[in-house]
Amino acid sequence: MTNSDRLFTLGGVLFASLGFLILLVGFAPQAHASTYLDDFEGDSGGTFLTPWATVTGSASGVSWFDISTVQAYSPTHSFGVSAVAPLNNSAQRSSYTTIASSTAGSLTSKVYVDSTISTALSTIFKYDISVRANTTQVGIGLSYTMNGGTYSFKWDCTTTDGCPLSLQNALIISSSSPLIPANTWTNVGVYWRDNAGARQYRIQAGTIDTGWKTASSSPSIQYVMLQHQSPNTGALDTDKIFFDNIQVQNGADAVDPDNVSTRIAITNPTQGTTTPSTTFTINANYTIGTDLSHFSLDGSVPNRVGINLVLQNALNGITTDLGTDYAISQAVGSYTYSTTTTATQSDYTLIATLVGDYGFTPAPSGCIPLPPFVTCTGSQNTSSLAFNTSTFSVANGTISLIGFNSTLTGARNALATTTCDVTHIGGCFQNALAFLFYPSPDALAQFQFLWYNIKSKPPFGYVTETITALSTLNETGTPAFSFGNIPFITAIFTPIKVGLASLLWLLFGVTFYTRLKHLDI
Amino acid sequence: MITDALLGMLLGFLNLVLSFFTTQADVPLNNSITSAVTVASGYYHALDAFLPFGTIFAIIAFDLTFEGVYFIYKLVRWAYQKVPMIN
Repeated sequence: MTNSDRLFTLGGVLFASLGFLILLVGFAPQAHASTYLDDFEGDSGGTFLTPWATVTGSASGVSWFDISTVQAYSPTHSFGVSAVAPLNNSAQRSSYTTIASSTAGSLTSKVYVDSTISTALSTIFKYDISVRANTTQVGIGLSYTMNGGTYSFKWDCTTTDGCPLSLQNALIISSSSPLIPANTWTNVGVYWRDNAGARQYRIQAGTIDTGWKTASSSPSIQYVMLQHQSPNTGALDTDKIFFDNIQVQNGADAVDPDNVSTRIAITNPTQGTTTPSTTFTINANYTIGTDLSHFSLDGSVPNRVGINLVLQNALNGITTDLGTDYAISQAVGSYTYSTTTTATQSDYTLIATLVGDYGFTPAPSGCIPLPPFVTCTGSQNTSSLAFNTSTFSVANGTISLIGFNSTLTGARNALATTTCDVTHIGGCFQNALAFLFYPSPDALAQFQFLWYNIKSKPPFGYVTETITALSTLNETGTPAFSFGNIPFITAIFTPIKVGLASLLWLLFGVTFYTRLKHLDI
Repeated sequence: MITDALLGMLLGFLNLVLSFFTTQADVPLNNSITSAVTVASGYYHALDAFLPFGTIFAIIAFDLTFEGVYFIYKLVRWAYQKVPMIN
């Protein structure tokens, strides 16, 4: 083999390797892009979301309540001033009839229920309740009154060994409506029992309606009652009830007559620990770098685009949908969605999603939601075009940004072509170049985050704060002085203003022309 | 990937340089500035009846923008001329 042959062979190998590398690199973003761009025949370039949402707010305390006193009573015990009739028949037991309304007074003057899960209740009802019975069926329920309505839920288990065990602190109520009117009770059947055979229930609240529940909504929360029942076995039940490991049933080792349910009334909750809550405004800033109206799905373009914000509590994972704003445009530009919410002290993750709303009326036959589309419900097909998350902390009335993580589906992906194969080598080159040189939105966003962190610190803060202050300079507000009611004042001042403006433009034109003449290009 | 790496190095350098500042407390807005802006807004409002503030601000903004662009141009030109083999 001559040297020229070796050189030719080596060149061929290098060329083939280079081509293989290009194909390999080119296919990588292509594979990623196919997730997003196969359905979006859109333009290239642009980012959809700025890396974070600004969060500002002020503190406002919300007092939650704790339960400080637990009162147990036997069937003959009086609750408040109203004698409570014993639940001494199976019909009452089977329906978990609630006790009569108490006149013992409201448990609390105010309670706030946020999101779809009662934070207040989930905070206070982390108690173990042990019920020991010689029966094979036990049950326990919780009822309370709120906003004039009586809400109850129960859970029970019908066999001793067939009942599932659950972990402590497990959320007993996992259904969507655990606190529901008594006539629509739902069995949820989650509890655990100890080694001694006692059934231990851990109560944690589930979903109830949201908003402020105040004493002005008469009646407010009047009582919270736990009920325990044992079935009619024809013999005496030896029920013992413990609340937080404290036996609360009257008398040690009390023996209840058969057919009698035992109830625990929590009658005296008091104002407990105050958990700071903060009302704040979230300004989600979005920059749409691509005309979204060009995106298409099966030939359809989004009727509208919107911004959806979801707040997730890092402590308990509870999410709050802050809504979707469809007021933004599909055109290139920057937009802000401002919304105000209230949250308790915790860390939160704000999930901001840019969605496209593809209206199908009716839905196309055989409509299948393709990634990233998640729904194809018949009336609309909402797609998640891009999203990012910001993490911030709400503590003691202050809000501080922790970090952010943007996941943008535009930019580099949009530059990648969907036609990288042996017949479209150019697309592979484009993919490779985009992969190698096009900066990711995350990389750029880090600089914005850096600026966010230092812009209010000295010495930068002196400049930014001054600029912020000067930005409020405008012609609104109270004038420093007035000209009084001078007749024809407008007719006098307006020509003067127009004349001065004309004169200024003229002088500026002359000055600018002189400046241009002396430019050193 | 390459650009990301370069940006990452630049970001690391900036973080190193600016890390001290991030530990400082936020600058409180001086009340004097706020008061001054409020007073200026009052005069602005009163004099806007016959003084074309809009024109004045537009001219100032245009001039500042023009001079800024020109300065950047000269800066780039100066750096470009530092490249060997280029006059």
